[in-house]
Amino acid sequence: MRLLGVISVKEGWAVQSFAYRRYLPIGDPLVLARTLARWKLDEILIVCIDQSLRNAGPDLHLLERIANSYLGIPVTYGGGIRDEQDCNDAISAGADRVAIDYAIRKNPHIANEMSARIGIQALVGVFPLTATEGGDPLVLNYATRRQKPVAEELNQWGDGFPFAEALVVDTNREGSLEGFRRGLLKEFAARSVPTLALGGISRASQAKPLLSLDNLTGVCIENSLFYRELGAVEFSALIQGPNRYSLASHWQFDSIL
Amino acid sequence: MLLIGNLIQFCKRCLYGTSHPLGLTLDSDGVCSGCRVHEEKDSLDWKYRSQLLNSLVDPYRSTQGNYDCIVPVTGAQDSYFTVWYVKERLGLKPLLVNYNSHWNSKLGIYNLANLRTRSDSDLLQLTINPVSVKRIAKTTLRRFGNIQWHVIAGHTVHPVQTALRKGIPLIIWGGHQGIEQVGMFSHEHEVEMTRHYRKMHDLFGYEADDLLSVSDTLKELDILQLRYPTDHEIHALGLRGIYLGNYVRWDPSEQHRLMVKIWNYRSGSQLRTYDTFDYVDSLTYAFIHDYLKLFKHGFSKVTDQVSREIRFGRMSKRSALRIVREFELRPPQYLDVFADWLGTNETSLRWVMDFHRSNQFWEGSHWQGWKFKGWSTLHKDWSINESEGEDSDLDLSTPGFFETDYLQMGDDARYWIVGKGCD
Repeated sequence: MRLLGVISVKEGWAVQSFAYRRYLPIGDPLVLARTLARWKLDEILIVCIDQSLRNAGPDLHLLERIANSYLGIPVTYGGGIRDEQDCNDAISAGADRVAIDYAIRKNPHIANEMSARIGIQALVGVFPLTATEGGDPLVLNYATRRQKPVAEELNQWGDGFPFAEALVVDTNREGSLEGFRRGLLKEFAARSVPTLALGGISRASQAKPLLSLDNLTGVCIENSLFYRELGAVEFSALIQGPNRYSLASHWQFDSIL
Repeated sequence: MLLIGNLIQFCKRCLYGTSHPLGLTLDSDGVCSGCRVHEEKDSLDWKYRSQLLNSLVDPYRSTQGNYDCIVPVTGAQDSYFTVWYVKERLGLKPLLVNYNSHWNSKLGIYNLANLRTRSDSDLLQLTINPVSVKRIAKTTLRRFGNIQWHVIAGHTVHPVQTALRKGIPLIIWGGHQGIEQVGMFSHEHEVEMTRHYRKMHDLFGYEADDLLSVSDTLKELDILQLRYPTDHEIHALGLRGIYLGNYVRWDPSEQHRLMVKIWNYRSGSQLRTYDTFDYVDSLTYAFIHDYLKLFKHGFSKVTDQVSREIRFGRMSKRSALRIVREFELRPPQYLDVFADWLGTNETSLRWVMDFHRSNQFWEGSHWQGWKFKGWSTLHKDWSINESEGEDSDLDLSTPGFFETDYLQMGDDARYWIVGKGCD
């Protein structure tokens, strides 16, 4: 089980995103990434949420800034990935993995071509989900606002799921404090797809019920990590165990004095 | 960073633009994040939120005769209201903590001493070696075009260090700058003090050790007292720093007026703004510091202050823009005092300052003179000249902002490191 810190980026700023409809500024994505690295999270997920709609390709400048900071923490990058070349460019600029959303909504089979080029281990498929009134999950194409059942979406790839993991986003609760709706994961669990959960997880108590799911490989924490001093500690303690996480203690006052 | 093709977009309600250094977003209606979060001030149930605050602080009431909490104070800004609220409304016993900026006005010394007396509280002050302060100020002026770095660093770290030393796990701050100015968080997020925010926004991405360089005269001993404690120490004490502004409807102007009335807070006029309450403790903040802000970011403190008044419905946008244009280009007082303190002269100081003029907001050179093209010149709604006649009937008065004293209280212009305070 991994703990991922999420940095949403819009027009170059790290923002707090609320259901991908409302945004509040937080600051420089690089400084946020450094904080997440200081907290020793397992991975950083950077999502440039406006790159695809602007057809701008991946934010290579941001990736290079992060790579040049030698944070020592894996980075998964999403936003603006259109084709194999964009995947390649993002990885060359410093991403360890790329997350793909818009491109696979337009052409699901492009994922197969991408995985053939960079390897399935470096690809994460993004599945923004909403739910019917009855609670059945639907995949949302945020460009067209069309929705389709999850099973129908996953069937497009038959038995050959072309991603290392599925990043399942509780779209309505993204950025909220309400918790992730566990029911959204059922189709992925039924197919034993390794899954990351994102959306609404703001306290460790909200992550705890998810940890028992066999196919869940990580939980993604968004804005709330930055609401409190040492915001990641309670998650680290839950996921890594109370004795495994460690806090930075690199100022040695005594030795200097 | 937020500029696309160097185009700054402005909020439809206030005077803020998207190049605000704290970050600013506009929604689909063209209204900025600061204005949107401000709307919460009229929609949240503040009675409920004050009850939340009471239940939050209750476990921190000391039964051992120790202080209940720490309140960082400057003697100006929100210090008075915060201490008053903590004492009178929450019934807590605070330890007041102050970082000595070295650039105090005599009025600031008076206000700080008066605060201690009125609140019947103990005050712990940290005064760093002036030689170190000068080295730090030189470094940050040269590198960031900012002299206040050490003041902000000290103000935000001394309370944390004191909390750890004295085993007091609660710090109570006043308003949150990121919420009040640009709506960085909702009040309901109940954000707390973080080292992360301090580094990114208060200190421009540079903590104390980040200032050290082999090519500088600044030494490790100079910055030692500005180092933030370790994560491990903070976690071990369970230290939290909460913001009153998340639980109390925050209105700095009204709060100042209340404090003048009941705790004799004293105000003073400042040449670069109409606001007679903010930052009267300092002979640098609303002067050279504010001027450098205009150099780098194309707007100054008066834009922050009028935007706040627009949001509270106490000023029209049109009047606000005229007020900004009236004040922002006024040259700062006390440049000579600062140059003398730094061990240089005013000409050399101005030369260094000019290096920090942003090409985006200034045209010209040190030798030829400068033309300003900052925020107030970019508002498309009203150009500077064409509607002068129309604007002449605008109400440019700023009711409620009055001065009780001069910053120097009749003395010559100089910095006060320590002073007598109350007569």
